Amino acid sequence: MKMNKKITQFGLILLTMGLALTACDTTGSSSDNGEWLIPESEIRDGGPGRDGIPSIDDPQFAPVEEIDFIVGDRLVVGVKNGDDVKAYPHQILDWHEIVNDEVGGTPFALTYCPLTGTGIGWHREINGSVTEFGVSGLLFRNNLIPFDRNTDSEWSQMQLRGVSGELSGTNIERVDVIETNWSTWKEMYPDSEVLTTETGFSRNYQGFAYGSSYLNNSTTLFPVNNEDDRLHEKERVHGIIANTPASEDSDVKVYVISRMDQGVEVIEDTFQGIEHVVVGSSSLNFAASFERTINGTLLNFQPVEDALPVVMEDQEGNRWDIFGNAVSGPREGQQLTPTRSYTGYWFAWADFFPDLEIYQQQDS
Amino acid sequence: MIKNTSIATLFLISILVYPAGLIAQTCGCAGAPLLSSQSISSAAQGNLLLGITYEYDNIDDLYQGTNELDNRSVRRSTQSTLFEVHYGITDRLTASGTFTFINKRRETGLQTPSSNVVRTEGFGDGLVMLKYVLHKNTIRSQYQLAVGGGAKIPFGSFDHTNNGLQLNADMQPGTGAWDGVFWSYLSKTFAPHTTLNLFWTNSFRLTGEADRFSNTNDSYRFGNEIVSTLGAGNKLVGNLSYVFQVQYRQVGKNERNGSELPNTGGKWIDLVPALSYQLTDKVSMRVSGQLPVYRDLVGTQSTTTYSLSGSIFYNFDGKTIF
Repeated sequence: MKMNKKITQFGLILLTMGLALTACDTTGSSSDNGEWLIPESEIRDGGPGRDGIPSIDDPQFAPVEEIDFIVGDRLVVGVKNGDDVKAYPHQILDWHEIVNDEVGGTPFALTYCPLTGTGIGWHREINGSVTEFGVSGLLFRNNLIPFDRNTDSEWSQMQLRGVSGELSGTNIERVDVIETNWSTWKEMYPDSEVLTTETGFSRNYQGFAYGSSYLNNSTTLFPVNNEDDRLHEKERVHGIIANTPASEDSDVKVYVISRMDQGVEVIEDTFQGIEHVVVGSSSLNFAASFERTINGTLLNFQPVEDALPVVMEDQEGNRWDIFGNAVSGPREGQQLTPTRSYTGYWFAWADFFPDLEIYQQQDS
Repeated sequence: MIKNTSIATLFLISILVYPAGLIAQTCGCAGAPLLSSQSISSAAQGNLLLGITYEYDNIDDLYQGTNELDNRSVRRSTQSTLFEVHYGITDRLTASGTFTFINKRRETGLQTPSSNVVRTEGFGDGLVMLKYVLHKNTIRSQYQLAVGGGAKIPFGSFDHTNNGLQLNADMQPGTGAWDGVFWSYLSKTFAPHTTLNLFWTNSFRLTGEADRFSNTNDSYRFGNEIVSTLGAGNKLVGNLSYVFQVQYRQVGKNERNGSELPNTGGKWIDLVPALSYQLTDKVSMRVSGQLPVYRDLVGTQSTTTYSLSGSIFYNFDGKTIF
């Protein structure tokens, strides 16, 4: 009898606790009505939180010859403005994703998303004021969402525009960058400056933020909405976006770097009515693209081998470097107009721009 | 009288047995320290024991493998309140229920002039277990062997948002998943020579999968977990007792949609000292701490710097467990 009473007592306690658990409203954090230009249901909290991945705001550089921590086949992102040439190793970008810097006196941010493999240079002067970018900790379709520290607006890295907040809808002005491996970069720009590990943070700069296998396997950390099996998920492609703003409706064409010649290959192509040239190499591991027309003249390009950073020449005798600068010839000092383009993993391009086109050799 | 004193001491020591850390499921610290709440190995037939524990986990450290990194960007903490109910169905069979309330805090951007704080709170998951004493501790055969099994029930909420966006799994009070829990307990006493109690507990958590987002097939599974604890407890003075434990914990990698996630999983060895005081025949209290001495984490992760907890237990019959 006594035991039955105790069992009943025990059961009642359990039941009361269970009812309490199911009855209580467990909302513990706020929500606001912030509007997004991208589908809110596809934005993910990556886990680190706002500025949990620390951007580098006081970058330190050293000459190429002093850099010993970069492995030869690992990638760097390079930028050039006048005589100011800098490289940013993936080994550091993996852990910081944004470097707020200047190049040739121009304030710019190197934004890099390790999950989509996209390194894109952004002007930091927006509507007349210079800002810094930070890592919001949010992701849209696996891709970095930076925020600017002046207005707290969020931006889509791959869509190149503000997507929430005061600057929502503002298109970002790009700074042209080149992604290639360390060996190629050193050969191209032996006198350049390289971001050092003196970041103010201790991180595993010899390692990979998401593991070395992430670079080649078919895994993504977050769901992919628009899967496209025409290429391997992590195939690196150079994509050109024809329209502004860059959105799911944009016309996009991509060039597969591993399908390019071992030496320097030049592809003259037309996309959405614009004549452009793509120059790249599978073994040297880079791709860049420019409009072919300069000052009303349509140029025809040929590859130049073994003369890095010079990669092509035209019918006028001009020789052009990888950043589209004429380094010799009648147009010396002029610069080709870069396309609206960047390099990244195939799965990300396909997810962002579902109807994108892949360049086939017979296209040109 | 001697017998009563011994029983009281054993009770104190037994509630000090604080087996499994599950303090923070690595950086992915979703959920409550449920296994650690299994402080009662068994209750006597008809006896009802209630307990409430408050635990604070400071998760400030950043590790890459076995190396501590300079962490100037993130500060985290978890506060857990656990309600325990233990009832002796028979002399050998005990039913246990544990229910939790969780408060999580994540402060990021410590390197910037204005940091960002996100908090979540809500009921966490619950744990129900049945424990069976295979061998009872007697004066002639002074050891106890008990085994148990149960389920972690996903009572906890796991859809908390910040600015309208669903937070990551490690900021959710609950995991959204059913887990299987297996447990064993072995203790040895040495009466009448000493009130020393040696014990060894082992826990295994077989984790289930949760669909985190209703609009996509985005499933998440925390890694399986093994916790093994060796400890010794004894009376200090009067009604005051101590227990000192060494705890080994190993957690597998978390998975999303079947793919292992980087920067999850690892191995820990912690020291867990505790003091307990018998206030009355029916009421006792306990304070304990947890200090990591070895950490080997997969990739780079935030991890627990230290934990503190305090508990109060009420023993309806004022007698026994064992």
